Amino acid sequence: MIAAYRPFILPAVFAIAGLALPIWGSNYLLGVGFALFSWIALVQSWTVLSAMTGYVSLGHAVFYGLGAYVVALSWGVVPMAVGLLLAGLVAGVFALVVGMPVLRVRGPYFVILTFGLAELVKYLVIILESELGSFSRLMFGAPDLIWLYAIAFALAAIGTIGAFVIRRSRLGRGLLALRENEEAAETVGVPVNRLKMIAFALSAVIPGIIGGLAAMRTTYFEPMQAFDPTVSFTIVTMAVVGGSDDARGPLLGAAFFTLLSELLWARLPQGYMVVLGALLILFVLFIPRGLAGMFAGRPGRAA
Amino acid sequence: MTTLSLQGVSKSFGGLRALSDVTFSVAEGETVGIMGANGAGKTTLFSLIAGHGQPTAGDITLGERSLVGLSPDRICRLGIARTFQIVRPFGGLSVLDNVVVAALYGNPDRPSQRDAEAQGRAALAAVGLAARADDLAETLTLSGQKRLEVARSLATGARFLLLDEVMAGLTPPEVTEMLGMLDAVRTRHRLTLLVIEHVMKALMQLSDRILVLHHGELIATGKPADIARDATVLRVYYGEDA
Repeated sequence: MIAAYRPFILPAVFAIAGLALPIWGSNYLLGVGFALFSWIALVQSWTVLSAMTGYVSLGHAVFYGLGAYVVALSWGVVPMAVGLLLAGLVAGVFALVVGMPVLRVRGPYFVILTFGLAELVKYLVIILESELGSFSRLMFGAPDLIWLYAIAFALAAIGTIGAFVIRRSRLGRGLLALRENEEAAETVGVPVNRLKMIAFALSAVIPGIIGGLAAMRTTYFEPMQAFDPTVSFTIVTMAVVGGSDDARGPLLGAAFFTLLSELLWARLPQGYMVVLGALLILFVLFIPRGLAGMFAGRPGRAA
Repeated sequence: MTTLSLQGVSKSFGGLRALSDVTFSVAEGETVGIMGANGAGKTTLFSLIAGHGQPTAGDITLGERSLVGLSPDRICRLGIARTFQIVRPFGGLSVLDNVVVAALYGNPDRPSQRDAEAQGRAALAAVGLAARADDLAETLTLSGQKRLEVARSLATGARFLLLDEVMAGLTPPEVTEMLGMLDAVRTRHRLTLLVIEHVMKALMQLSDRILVLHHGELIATGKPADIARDATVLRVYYGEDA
């Protein structure tokens, strides 16, 4: 009986901490919490594509950046909630549009293609912005941090529960099969192209909204920052270090690096990136199943 | 009564003609063996039927419906499933999950997850893998993985199975076991089998009819006993002087 509850202990701890933080936490802690839950939402979304299909995206910054851009453009034109929903929608639709060609290539080619695509969109937005005569957009009247925190928390919860549910769903089973062997999956009836597109779009929506939230948090939009590839690198590193075989990995990965960044950022900002890179290499080589995998034991064996 | 028919099917890869003008049909409930040396076009034939690639000329029909241009997953849901000569298990998934996904997606009537699991377990039981359900597929032996290929195509609910060398690389006792298993499932599920096999004794024993491919051409067709005596076949297989 206890074993059946085990997968839910860690998410419950995060949920309780997340709900309690606004009651006792300072504004500083609320900011850290905002970052933490944003990262959790991003990494969980990323796993729906990259862990479940094996198509490793190194370009999720594009969805984040597009979401930020949509919120900046629609600022003051539509209500903020509508702007955020629009950010998610645009990111999802963009994934569907580029998914058709991009998802045709696998392995390292997909990794490079997604990275290149994100950079391409970044420079297109920079050109567009300079044509429009705007070099960074300020957003006055952004909501209080507590609201942004609440939305990030909700998205992290949706992302975590979503990843958990999808993995066990009809869709998830199809995705895992095509990850293992696309041609064999097709042969037993899995519509691989359609499922890959669905996974790509699903993994883009929440990052779009999170990008919009991040723009509200900084109260301005600037393309180099919104489409910063560091966002993509960080997502991948958190997923690798935390483990992406189940929904607990991203919680651990996001928490580890958010805390690490808080500790190192002020003292030695370059050190953070060095540690990020070193840990990525270390985990890929020696602990491929991540922190969550270290605790979970072997799959397919009863405890 | 559904019939799988090929009419004048040809396939070229650039200048290489893998199949030329192949015509035959398979009636429901029949087991048809396909013989031929390496490179005769046997696997290409299966690929075309299953939707992996399009014929350069000719038509492939199941009942009234042409299969040409349909995607492999669509063809599976119409009732044709294939196995792969070089096994392609979903290695990182459990043996059970391998067949459950086939039941979930291969059946046109979209079973629930619970029903799909029941169908998957039944398919594993049929091939003697029930005890390995929770193990990772990659931990199975070659014989186990070959049986998993069969179980996966069974779980789709397809009635036409294309079995591509499911006995190659098995020990003689394993071949006997596989033959017994295939014989049992084809009767129980009223399957139509198209079987590519190099283990000649097994093919003779299993098939109602045998087709012989040579350099992409269908050079003989007939009952196993007749094929074993056919002059053309003997010449192709054993050389001019046989």
